[in-house]
Amino acid sequence: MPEMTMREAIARSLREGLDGDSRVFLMGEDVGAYDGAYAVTRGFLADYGPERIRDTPIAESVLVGSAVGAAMAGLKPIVEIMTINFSLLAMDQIVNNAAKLRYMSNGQFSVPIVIRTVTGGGGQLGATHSQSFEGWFASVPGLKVAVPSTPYDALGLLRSALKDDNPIIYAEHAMLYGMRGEVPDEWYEVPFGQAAIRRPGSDVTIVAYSGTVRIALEAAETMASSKGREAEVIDMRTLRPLDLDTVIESVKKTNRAVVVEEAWSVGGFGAEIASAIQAQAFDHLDGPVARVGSLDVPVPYAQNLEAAVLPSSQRVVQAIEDTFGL
Amino acid sequence: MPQMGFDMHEGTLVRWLKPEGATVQNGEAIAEIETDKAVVEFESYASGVLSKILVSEGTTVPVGQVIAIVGAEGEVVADVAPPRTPIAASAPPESAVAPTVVEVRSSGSGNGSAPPPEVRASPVARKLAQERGIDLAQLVGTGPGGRITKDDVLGAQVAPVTAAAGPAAVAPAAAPAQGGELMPLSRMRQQIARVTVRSKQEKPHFYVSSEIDMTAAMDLRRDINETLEADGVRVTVNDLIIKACVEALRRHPKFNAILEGDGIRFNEAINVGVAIAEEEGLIVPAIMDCAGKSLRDIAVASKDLADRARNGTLHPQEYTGGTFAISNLGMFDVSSFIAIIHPPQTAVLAVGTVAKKPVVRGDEIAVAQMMTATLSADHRVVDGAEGAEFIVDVKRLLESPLSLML
Amino acid sequence: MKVAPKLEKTQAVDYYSQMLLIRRFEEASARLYMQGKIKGFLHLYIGEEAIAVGSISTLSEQDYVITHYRDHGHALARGMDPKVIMAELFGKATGSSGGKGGSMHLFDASRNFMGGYAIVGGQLPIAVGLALAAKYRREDRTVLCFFGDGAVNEGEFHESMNLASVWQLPVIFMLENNLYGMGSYVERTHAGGKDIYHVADAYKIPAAQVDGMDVLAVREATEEALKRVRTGSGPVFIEAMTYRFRGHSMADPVAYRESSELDQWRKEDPIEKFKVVALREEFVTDDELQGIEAGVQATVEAAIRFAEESPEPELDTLHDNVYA
Repeated sequence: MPEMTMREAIARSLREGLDGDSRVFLMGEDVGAYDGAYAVTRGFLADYGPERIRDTPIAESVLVGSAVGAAMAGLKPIVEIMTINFSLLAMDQIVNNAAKLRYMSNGQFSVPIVIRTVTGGGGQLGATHSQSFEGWFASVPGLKVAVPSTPYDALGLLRSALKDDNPIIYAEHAMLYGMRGEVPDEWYEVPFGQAAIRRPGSDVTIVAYSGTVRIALEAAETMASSKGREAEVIDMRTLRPLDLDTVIESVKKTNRAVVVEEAWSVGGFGAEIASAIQAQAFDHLDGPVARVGSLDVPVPYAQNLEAAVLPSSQRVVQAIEDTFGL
Repeated sequence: MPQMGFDMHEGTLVRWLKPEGATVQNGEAIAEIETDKAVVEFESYASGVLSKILVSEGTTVPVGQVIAIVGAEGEVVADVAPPRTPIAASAPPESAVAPTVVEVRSSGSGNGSAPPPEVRASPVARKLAQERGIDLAQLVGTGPGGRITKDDVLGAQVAPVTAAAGPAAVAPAAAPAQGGELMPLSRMRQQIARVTVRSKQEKPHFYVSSEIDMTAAMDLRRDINETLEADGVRVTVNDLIIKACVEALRRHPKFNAILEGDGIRFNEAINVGVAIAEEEGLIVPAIMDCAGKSLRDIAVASKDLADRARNGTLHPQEYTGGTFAISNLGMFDVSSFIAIIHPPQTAVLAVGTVAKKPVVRGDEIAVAQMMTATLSADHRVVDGAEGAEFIVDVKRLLESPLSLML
Repeated sequence: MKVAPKLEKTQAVDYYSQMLLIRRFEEASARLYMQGKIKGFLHLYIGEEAIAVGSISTLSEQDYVITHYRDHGHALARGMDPKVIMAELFGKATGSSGGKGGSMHLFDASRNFMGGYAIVGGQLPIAVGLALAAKYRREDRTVLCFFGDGAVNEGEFHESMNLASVWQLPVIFMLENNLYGMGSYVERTHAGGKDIYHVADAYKIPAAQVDGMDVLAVREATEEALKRVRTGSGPVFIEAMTYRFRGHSMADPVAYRESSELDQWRKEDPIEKFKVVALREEFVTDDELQGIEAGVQATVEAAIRFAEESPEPELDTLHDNVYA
């Protein structure tokens, strides 16, 4: 099977969207002449022209809000918010308008927009540029949230997103753009709300998504080789809709769970998953549901400090060992 | 009382701006109403005569209550029921505060018995234990903080009552790596390790041995088996030992008891565990309710137990219900060994092989079928003298085996 | 009040009827609110009717209207059925959003009435997007976007003005300057003072100030703006000076302004003023005015009856339309 990077997979899907539907256009800060801050849209401006590849002012609220308006009028905008940290400036449009217009109008209007944005830390970008807010959006009814962890999923989920009539937050992890993975030539889609079991195991379930899937897989290998415990790693792929069935089935088998996210643990979305596990699989638990997330501080700049704050495979291993009392 | 904000539930009529009988226009302010946010002028939404004021100044009433009636000029207003009870006058008297009654729950009189220790167990462990009829209080938790885990419950079904005492039961001190392959412990192995370590740490073991002349017992066994052959029943040496132990336990019930807190709890039933070597490790299922069983019954029951152990159809209570145990390594040509007591039991009998040995009978040397039995007992429950009495009773019963037939 | 040269009798009757409908509809709403029939927030447009009627009357069907939470007037002027609006205010199943929207969130897709928005300034970026869609598809549509003086200080206002101008989008920014953002007088909150239209200069958007109590002046200004916008040369900004006769919402004790100020503005009542002109110019007779009044009253009463008699939303509709 051919391999490509996450960046290439996303670009491929965006081109498919632009090629297949004249209602689709791209809008964002530096998506055109600059080729995109993370170079996802390299060459797009030359290929599709300034009507469809629109560089906007640095004004996230009108960037998203105008996409909402264009979507209400029947277009299918794809918006790029350069990083999820800047989405805070567009919160009103995302949460108060995009997520609610369909409901408040009782179905008179739809808001079919895809908001691509870049999440996560690990690049020593400091406290304001290393955050993971996808969980915040996932708590809002009316939004859908995709958190791909592989090139295959990045392409498959974006294909599904472009067919969807709902507002979608599509969070690309900053450290995964260069990740290579197999992507078939044949058409496929990855549906929303269907988690993937990345590694089967019988002793503990690790729930992860986006950048933490890799960490979870590393931790699982460590547990297997050092302790003989086999971890099952589940990649949620989307946070809303949330495929709890796969998680619960796994926990019923393994009786233990560790939920890993890159956001701060305090109030993090992992708490939602942990809560669902205890509610739906209480009688199957052999230990408390453990959580691993960012430590309760802003993400610092210095390399060693940043590494200490963000979740790591070592911390996942430690959490697993704690649940076993090892 | 008009609604003047989404969060307004009641309002206070501060002042009437128009007296009863006054003419009012639609939109004209007729009263001042205080909400919890502000004092607001209330404009009439009808024109006419303010024919009746129903709420006096300074009174707080809920939203929706009629406060006045505006009628056409000359219209006679029928008596209107007095307003519903005001919520409060503007200066309500302080209501007497009822003394707070604090209920003190007595935790029992005198030196009251301590509450039973809380069993810490994971949800799945509780569920499994309930399904399989396992008493969690009898298990030793190995999870974080001593919590009983799923493994502990499953392990209770396979846990050894006895195991040859040896270095395997002791956590090895960290030693420098010597190379060579590291084989991870199987779950059963881990469980055996935990239980035996716990037993040896918790129970001060002592041991009493006795050589037993099994000649008569072996003869008797041969005769019985000839008789029972038609029935397809075979009595083993172990069955005879079980029967002897049951009789001895009846006479010495402390060996069939468990230490519980500051007391000794005597088990009503005598359930004798029998060590069975399985591929993955030792299991010690119990023959339940041995007290009422004849030797023949015991023979049938122990054969049945072994068969079911092999095909995995033992009942949960058979795994956990033992009150005493016997470990027999006779088939391995072992002269004697000592066993580790399985918590929470108090004693275990280890028996070696039955072999012909020269013995002195009267003043003559004779050949006899001899067997060495060693009792391990928990010194917190019983003392050496009691152990001696117990094992001597077993010895007597086996050396005069006809009594086992009674 | 001057008379626009091409005013027809039917138009005059129309403007008067529409303004009166808004007035009577809202007076009834206030009464029903105080009676507990309408709940939540209720923001009345009383005093500002000339702006909605004067501007919306100039639009064609394909144009978009989008507004803030003080939206009953715009919805009625755009032709929404008073019955479904009143039912929505009552929270009934027959309401424009089946009871899910409420007073601040009226929508009518069939009339390109794109909704009332309750976060101050939140509708402005959407207006830009509607205009972007029109331009992207090369359609002859204009967006008429209403907002208040309070919204001018929001970042979304400036982002929207800038982008609409940069991309030369067909938007009419219609500022309803009623001088108070809730209880705060405009000169205490806006650095440029109460004549706000000057802000448009910064974005190179042509702007005009107009008497918002004069339906014909608003109409004329909007027609001018439409002409310009339809040439494709970008947005236009209109500031209509007006006054809210009622409080910000039903909970507002209006302690922040002198009653003499209200009395002064009441003399500018857009309905009374237009009535004088219409009679003077013989567009209407006294009898016709009485007929209009009766007709409007009947319409409002029918709307109330409809809302009263309508069922509450079924609980099983609760999850409908969260997602497509």
